[in-house]
Amino acid sequence: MHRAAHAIVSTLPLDVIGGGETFTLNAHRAALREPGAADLWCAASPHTETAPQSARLAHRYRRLAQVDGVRSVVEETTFDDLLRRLARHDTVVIHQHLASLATVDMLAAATPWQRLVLTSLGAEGQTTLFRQSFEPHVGVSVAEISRYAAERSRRGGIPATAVSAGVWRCDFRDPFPKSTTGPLRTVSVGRILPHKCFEVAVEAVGRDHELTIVGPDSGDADYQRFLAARVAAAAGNVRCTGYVDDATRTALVAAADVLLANSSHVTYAGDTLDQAELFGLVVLEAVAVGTLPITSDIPSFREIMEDLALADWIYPQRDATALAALLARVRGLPPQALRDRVDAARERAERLFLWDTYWRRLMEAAASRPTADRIPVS
Amino acid sequence: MTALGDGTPAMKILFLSNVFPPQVLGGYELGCLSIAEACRRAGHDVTVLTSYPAGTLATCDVAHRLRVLRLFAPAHDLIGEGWAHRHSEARVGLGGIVPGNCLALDNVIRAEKPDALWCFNPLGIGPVGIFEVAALSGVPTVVHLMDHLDAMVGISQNGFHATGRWAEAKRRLAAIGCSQATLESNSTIGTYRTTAVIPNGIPVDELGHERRRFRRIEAGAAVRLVYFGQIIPEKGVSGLVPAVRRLRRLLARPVELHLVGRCPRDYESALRAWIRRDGIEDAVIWHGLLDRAGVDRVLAEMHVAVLPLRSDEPFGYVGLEAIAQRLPLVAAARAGFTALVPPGYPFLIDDPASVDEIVAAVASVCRDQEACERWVDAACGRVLECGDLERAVLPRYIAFLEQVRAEAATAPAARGDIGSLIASWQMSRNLSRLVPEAAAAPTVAEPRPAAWRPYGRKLRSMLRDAVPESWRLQLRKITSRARGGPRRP
Repeated sequence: MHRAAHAIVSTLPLDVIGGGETFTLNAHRAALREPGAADLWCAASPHTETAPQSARLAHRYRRLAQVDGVRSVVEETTFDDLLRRLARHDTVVIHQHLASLATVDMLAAATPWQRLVLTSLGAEGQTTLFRQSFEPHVGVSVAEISRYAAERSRRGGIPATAVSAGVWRCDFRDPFPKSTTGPLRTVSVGRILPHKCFEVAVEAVGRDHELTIVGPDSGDADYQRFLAARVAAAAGNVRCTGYVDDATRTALVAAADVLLANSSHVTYAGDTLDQAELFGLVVLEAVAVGTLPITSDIPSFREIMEDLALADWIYPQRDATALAALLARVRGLPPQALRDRVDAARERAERLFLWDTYWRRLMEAAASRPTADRIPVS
Repeated sequence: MTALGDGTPAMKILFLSNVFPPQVLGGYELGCLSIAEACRRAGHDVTVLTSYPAGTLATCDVAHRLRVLRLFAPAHDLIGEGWAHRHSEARVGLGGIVPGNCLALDNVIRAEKPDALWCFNPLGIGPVGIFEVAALSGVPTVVHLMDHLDAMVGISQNGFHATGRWAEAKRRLAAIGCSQATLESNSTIGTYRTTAVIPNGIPVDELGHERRRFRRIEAGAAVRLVYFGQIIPEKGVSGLVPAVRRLRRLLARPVELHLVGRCPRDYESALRAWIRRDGIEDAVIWHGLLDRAGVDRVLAEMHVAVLPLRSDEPFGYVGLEAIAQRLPLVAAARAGFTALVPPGYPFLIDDPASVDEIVAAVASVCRDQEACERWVDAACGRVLECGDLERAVLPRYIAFLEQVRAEAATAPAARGDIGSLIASWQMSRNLSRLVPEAAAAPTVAEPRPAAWRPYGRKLRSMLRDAVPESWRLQLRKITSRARGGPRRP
C-alpha cells in the first residue's frame, strides 16, 4: 500500500503558477530530500466558498509527482477519499489553509498521532470562519512564510511561527556582467495583477532606463488594459514578455541590472488591500543570480530586504519619484560597490532562505513551538 | 502482579461494553458478561466499564460478582448539547467521537492502571474516540469482535468524517474475531495490528443438565421444534411458519413450534397473522422471555432446535447452547459458531431464508433418529470439549492477551494526546455551528469511489444485509430519547 510519511495538500489548484504555487511545489521538493516519502495533493479546481460538506467531499483532488522539475498528475480522487488517506501520514502540511473550509475538514479528520502544519500563501477567503472554527492543540501548528505573515496570524488570534525559504543552493550562479553606463536594464516579475503596481515601475524608469515586465496575464482585464496603455505611452523602452518558462524568466532577471518589486496595498484604482504580499520570492531569486532588488516599502518586502541588509534599497510604495531616485543612485554607484552589496545579500540569503533546509526547519518549528497545549472546553 | 494457581500472572483487566446487564441488547453484552465473570473466577482483577442505563432497553437479571462502572453517556444524552443540528446524536454515537466518554475512559485508565483493556461493543458511545483513547493510553488493548463494527461506523459518517481516524486507531489495537468471517467483515475500514480467531465459548457448567440426553421422537407423538433467542425477522423466524405447515403434511404427524424469547410488538402481530393464515395456531406455543432455568426446562422437552439465524451471523451463542443440550440443530451453515461443529454435520443449511432447506433438514432429523443421535453426540462432545468457556476458550483468550501485552512492552511509546483528539473533533462541530448550511449533508451524498462507502442501491442493500433491521431496532433503543427508566419485558 502506498504510504508516504508526509503529505502536502494545497486547497487551491497548482496549475496556474504564482508565488504561492511555487512555494508549495518547492516545499514538496524540499520534503522529498528528507527521509520518508512525501505526497503532494492539490485541489483540481478551486472550492466553492460556501459549498456544503457533501459538495466538499465530492470535490476532486490530484496527486502530483515532481521529477527533475517536471510535474505530472499521478492520480485523481475525491476529497472524501483523500481525507481517509491523509490519516495515514505522520505529517500533513496544508497550504492555502485560509482559502477553503476543506481545511477544517482535514483538521477534524486528523488523528491524535499526526502532526499538522498550516501555511497560508495569500488566498484568505475563509479566514473569518477558519479563525472561529479553529481549536488549537499540540498536534497542529501554523508556520507562515514570513514574520510578517506570522504576525498577521497572531493578530487574528492564531499563534504562528515563521519558516521562510525562497531559493535553492543550486540556484546561486555567477552574476551576469552589469551595465556601467547608459540606461539601466530593469525587470519586474509577476502576474499582471493590480497590487503588483507595474505602472509605478513604468513611470519610474521614464525615458532614462529600460524595463521588461515578465509575467502571465491574470484575467484582470481592466488592469491589463490600464497597464497596456501605460506601456504604449512609454518611449519604447518598456516591453512585456507575457508568460515565459522558469528558465527564461531566470535568465531575464539575471541579465537585468535591477529587479523592481513594486507591490502596494493601494492599487491603481485606489482600492486598498489588507495584504499585498506575504513574502517576496522574486527578491530572493534576483539576489541568487546577482541582480540587485529594489522593492516597495510593504512589510513582507521590508522584512526580506532587512534580512539581506538591503534596507536602503526600499522606496515608499507607489512613489515613482522615490523609485526613480533609487535607480539614479544605482547608476551612480561604482560597479564593484554594487556587486559587493549583492554578494553580501547572497551570503545572507544562503544562510536564511534555503529551500534545501526548509523541511527540516519546518519540522523543528512544528515540533518545538506548538500553538497551544490546552484542551478546549465547550 | 500476583500469580494464579496455574502459574500464570493475574491481570488487572478493564472490560468495556456499550451496554451491560441487566440492560441487554443481545449476545454481545451477555458474552462480555460471561467472559468477564470467567476471568474473575480465574483470579484476574476485573472491572467492567459501560454506559449508564438509558432508553428503552430490555433488562435481564443475571447474577454476577463483577465491579461495574457505569460512566459512559449513551448517545441520546447528547441531545440539547448542540450536536443534534448537525451531528445526529445517533450517528456520532455510532461512528464518531463523544468527548465526554473519551475523557471518562482516559480518566479511568489513568486511575486504574490496568494491565489490559478488553473492548467489546463500542457502538453507541462514540467508537472512534473510544478506540483512539485506548490506543493513546498505551495499555494493551484487545477488541472482541462479535458484530460488523466497520459497517456501522462506515454508514454513520454524515456531517463528519472519521473513517481515517477509525482505521488508524484500529492499526494500533489487537482484535479477537469470534469467527473468521467476523474478523474479515471488520477489515473493510483498516485492519487491526494483531488478530486471532477464537470462537466464543459457553459456560458449560451453568447450563441446565436436564437435557443432557438425546430425546427420541416417540411414535405418533408431536415433533417439537424450538426456536429460542431474539424473535426477529433477521434471525429467519418468518420462514418457520410455512416450514411447520409443510412439515405437518410431509411427516403426516403433529408438529409443534415453541418460541422462546422477546419479540418486538409489531413483528409479533405480523407473525401471529401469518400463523392464523396458515392455520397452525394450535401448533405454535409462545413462551415469552424466560430465565436460564426456564429455557433449560423448555429445551429438555424439545426434539429439534431450528435456529435459522442471519446469513452473516457473527457467532450465534444459541447454536452452541442447543448443541450442548444434545438437541439436533438446524441452523445457518455460515454462522460463526459452526466452527465448533464437527465437519459433515448434516443439518446445517446454506440459506437460512429457504423454507425448503429448513423442511428438508428437519425431515432428515425425524427420519433417521439413529444417525441423528450419533451426530448430536459428536457435536455435543466437541462443543463441551472445545467450546467450554472456562476450560477451553478462556486459556486461549488469556494467551492472546499475554501475547498482546508482550508486543506492547516492546512497542514505541504512544505519541499524541487526548487534547488533540478532542480539539480536532471539536473543529467540525464549531464549523457546523457557524455555517449549518455548509455542514449539512444529505443522508446519501455524491457517489463515492471507495467500495466501503456504499450509496444508492448498494447502501440499501448493505443496510438490509450487513446491518439488519434487528440492529437498527436495537440501536434505536439505545439512542431513544424516551426516558423513564429501563423497561422490563
